[in-house]
Amino acid sequence: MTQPRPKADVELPEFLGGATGDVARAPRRAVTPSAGHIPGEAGLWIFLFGDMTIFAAIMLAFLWDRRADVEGFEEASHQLIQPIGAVNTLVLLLSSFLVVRALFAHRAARYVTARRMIVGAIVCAAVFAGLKAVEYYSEISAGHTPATGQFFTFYFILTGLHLVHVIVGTALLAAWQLMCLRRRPWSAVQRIVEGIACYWHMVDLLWVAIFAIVYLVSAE
Amino acid sequence: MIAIVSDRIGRVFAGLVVATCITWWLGSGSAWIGGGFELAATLTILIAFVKIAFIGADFMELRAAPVILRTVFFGWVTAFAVAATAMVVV
Amino acid sequence: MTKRILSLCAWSGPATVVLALIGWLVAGVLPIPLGPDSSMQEVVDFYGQTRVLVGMSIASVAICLVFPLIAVIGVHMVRMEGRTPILTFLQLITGAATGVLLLLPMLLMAVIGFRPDRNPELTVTLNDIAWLMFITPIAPFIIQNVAIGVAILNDERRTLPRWVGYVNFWIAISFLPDPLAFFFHSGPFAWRGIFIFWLALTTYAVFLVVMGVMLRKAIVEEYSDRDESRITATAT
Repeated sequence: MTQPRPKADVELPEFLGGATGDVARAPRRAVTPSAGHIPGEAGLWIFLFGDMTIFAAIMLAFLWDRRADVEGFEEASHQLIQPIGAVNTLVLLLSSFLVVRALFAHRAARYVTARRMIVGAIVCAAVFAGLKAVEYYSEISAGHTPATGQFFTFYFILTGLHLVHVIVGTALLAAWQLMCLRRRPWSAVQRIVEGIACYWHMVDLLWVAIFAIVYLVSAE
Repeated sequence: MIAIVSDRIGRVFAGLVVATCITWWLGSGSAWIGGGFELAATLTILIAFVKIAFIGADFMELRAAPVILRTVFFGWVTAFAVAATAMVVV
Repeated sequence: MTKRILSLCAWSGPATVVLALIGWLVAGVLPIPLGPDSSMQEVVDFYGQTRVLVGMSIASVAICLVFPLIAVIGVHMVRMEGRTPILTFLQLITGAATGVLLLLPMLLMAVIGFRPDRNPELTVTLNDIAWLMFITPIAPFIIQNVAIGVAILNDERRTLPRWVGYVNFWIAISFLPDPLAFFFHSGPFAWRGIFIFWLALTTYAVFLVVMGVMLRKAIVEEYSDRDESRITATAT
């Protein structure tokens, strides 16, 4: 498979996936223009859409219940520590960015770069979990638990389910790290690595929605 | 810094960060914005779903995916955005 | 003969759904089940009806049709795994557990209906036990579904299509909220809440039907392959 050399206009630093003396672009796959390439594989998307739909349904139920008590929800949402929510959003966006870089690197057989990017993403996940723990601790010590009203019920359940997904995702990233350590070639692992990456992006995207709806909209 | 935005993925990431900051500002209550709550809420949801669309298109590489998958994904995102906005604004 | 048995076991998946639903409709558990927030009188009145005994007898038999399905899943997983069928064993063990965990609440509800004039507090307590035992034990189910999913995705012979593996993962995830039933007496996270009872009911039914149908297909294909190779062998 020939990869057309991209123009060497800007080089990315090595730590962001740039190769020494080469441009860090995604190696182009030989794709039939009409068919397109399914990231991961078709079956994966049943899982992703199914999971996203469960979360979406819970968020819509949250918004529905909010209509009955807009002020109560607003007041409760002001008890949340918005900066932690916002920083967590940025942290997960960064982790997704690093996952994309890792994917490109693995595709181009740059295993060391890929491993560094994956470690970065895992560190982001750890930061996310740490901030979440701080957030939960501070809310519970302030007397807000899943039992204190509908807002906090949904808040804890949505973010709790999401956190479980982050933990599963971290395990998957670690598995990918092992594949890179063993220098598994792209052709052998394409489906599963793209699958892990897409799962991680889903975790990121779910948090974007949770942040917007639970942290922001309720408080506006 | 400039190196990060040297390619599409970098630019998308930068855009997502900026969008996050905008929505955070909108939600923080210190935003001066006419139209009150409805406008702020609609904008917040809209921006959030644009972010989700870009995560799908660029991070998940759906730009290069078959039409069906793209349609389902962006259709799903749009439907959810509409439903959420309707619940908040109507 | 073996093919016929395998096929019957595969069909028992969809059959469970149909017959259990019939049982629950007869019993009155569907369309709207009792909830943690039902009054003592509502609970006592419900179990005073004879239809509960009839319906739960049907349901308790019907729900055990998961056992043949678990067995035929096991047969195919052995083929997927080869020499060390650990996931196969895991599926068989946890599958057997899920069958029992589904059966006991059905029997318990029938027992409640057996003596409608007992102390109402006992009736409410037994009803709580039946429902919470039915809804909350997610671990055997999740382990079973994950084992199936992993085996399918690791299978090089494509015994079952890969999307079936992903569906199993999704079904496993759908059970995660169920322990929340311990914490809520009303709302969408109570034992009859939409994200607990209705979600799990839907996804488990999907599991039974998808596995049954796709295994049936796999059995047909495998035996038609065998027939073809036999015919070619005798022809030469």
